[in-house]
Amino acid sequence: MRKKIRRVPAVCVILLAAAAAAGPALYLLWGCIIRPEGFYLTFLRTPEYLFKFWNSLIVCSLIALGQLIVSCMGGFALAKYPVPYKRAVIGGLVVLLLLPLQVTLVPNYLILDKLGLLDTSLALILPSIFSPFGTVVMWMTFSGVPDELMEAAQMDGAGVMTQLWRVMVPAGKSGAASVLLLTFVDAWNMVEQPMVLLRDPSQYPLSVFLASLDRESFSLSFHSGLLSMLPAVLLLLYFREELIKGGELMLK
Amino acid sequence: MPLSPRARRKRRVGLLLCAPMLLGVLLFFALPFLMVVGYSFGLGGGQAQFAGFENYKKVFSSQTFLLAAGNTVKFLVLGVPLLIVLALMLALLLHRALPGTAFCSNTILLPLVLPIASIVTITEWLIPAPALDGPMAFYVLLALYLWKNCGYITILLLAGLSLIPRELYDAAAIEGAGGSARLTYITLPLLRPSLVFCAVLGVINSFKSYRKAFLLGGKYPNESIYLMQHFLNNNFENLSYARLAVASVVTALPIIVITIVVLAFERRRS
Repeated sequence: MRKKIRRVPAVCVILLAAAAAAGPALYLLWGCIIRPEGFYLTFLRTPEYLFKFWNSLIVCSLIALGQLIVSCMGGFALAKYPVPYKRAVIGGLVVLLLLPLQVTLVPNYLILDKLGLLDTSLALILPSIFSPFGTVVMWMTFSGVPDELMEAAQMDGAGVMTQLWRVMVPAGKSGAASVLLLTFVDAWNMVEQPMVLLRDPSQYPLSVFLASLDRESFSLSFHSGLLSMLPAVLLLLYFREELIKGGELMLK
Repeated sequence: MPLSPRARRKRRVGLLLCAPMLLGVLLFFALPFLMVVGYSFGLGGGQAQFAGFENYKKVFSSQTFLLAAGNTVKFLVLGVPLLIVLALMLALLLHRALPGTAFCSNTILLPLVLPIASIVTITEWLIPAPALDGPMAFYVLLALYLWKNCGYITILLLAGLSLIPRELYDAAAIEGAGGSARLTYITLPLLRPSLVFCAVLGVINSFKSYRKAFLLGGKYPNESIYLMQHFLNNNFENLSYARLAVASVVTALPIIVITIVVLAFERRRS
């Protein structure tokens, strides 16, 4: 009994943290429920909205999948193969990962211009696919996967790609899920890149469009906010287990 | 020393696997950074000749630059340690598997997936405009950063905690070690790799606070949240590439130095 009472403050803190985390999302949901006409306004009276929604969904999915493939390959090599100057490569990746995006904005703009990609979705997609983030996470994850697993597959005559996608990625799926989710959410929220790399505002993705909505129009900003939360929430629900376990392999 | 055919093959496979990542990173991250270093000394970026440290002198005497640098450093120095301490406290609580833990670990990641535009809208509804236009804006931005990132860092630290063998704590309990001794001699040292990784994530995400500052205050927000990225972005729009390049290099230098020191330290430890 005594022990139970001593746990009360700790439980209160936990519940308080849960409430603080969930509060704004619930507030958003509540705001939408009490003004159901907003769904009508968003869906039927704002055609750009749906167009941008699907467009952004495609762009962000391509970024997340591309980043996953590139970083699984890179992370696999760094974790299990002798790569020349490995420590320097990893150090360089961490430094580039830490730099804010604006640091390389001008040359990035020029390079994308030279490649003729400015004003296209590829200007948003390509640099994000090659972000060093996923490679660092997958390097950490795959380093925690025992070599024996890979060697066993090798004995069975599996090629390098089979080893990677059939053995390593399933073994490190918590790390892969983290890369996929975090990359998707980050792309889904991008604001700076489109405003610099796309000149035509009609091409702006959903995130910039949402931010440019008139905040006085309550229903539009709430309902469109709630709907734009959906893909990320679904991903989160789908990968919840992996994400929560995610750290264990990564941090080994 | 000649390599055996097997070792040579392994090396080649490793390089091939790395190639897409290395090429992409070189083209979109490393090369742009080197170009920026060049611009800062007057090489390229619309400048006629090598300028030495002339650009640096000009930028360092600019009030806006000093304001932006000061705010960014203040944000990092306050934000990252606060984030880690908060998340660590929460992770230690959740690790005890008290009632409410399952519920909390379900909701705690919600801030991660809430769209930034919605976060900003809700902030504007909840917090009176004068607070957002005054020096309080800095603390609003800091609170948003802590709120948004605490969940994921907590989950990571929780994973780190579950990797620490139970027997260590049992042994310590037998030796009569109290709660704080267990924290300083077992939990924190064994959690070090997790803490380093969380600090890296904390720094990356603190730079992403610019998005919120921009959506809250536009290009020229209250001076308490005028960040380095405002300075960089505004100079990009004014086509002052030399100023932008200098500020970029000055931002990158401490990051490079600290990363090298931490990695060298980590290597010595392991």
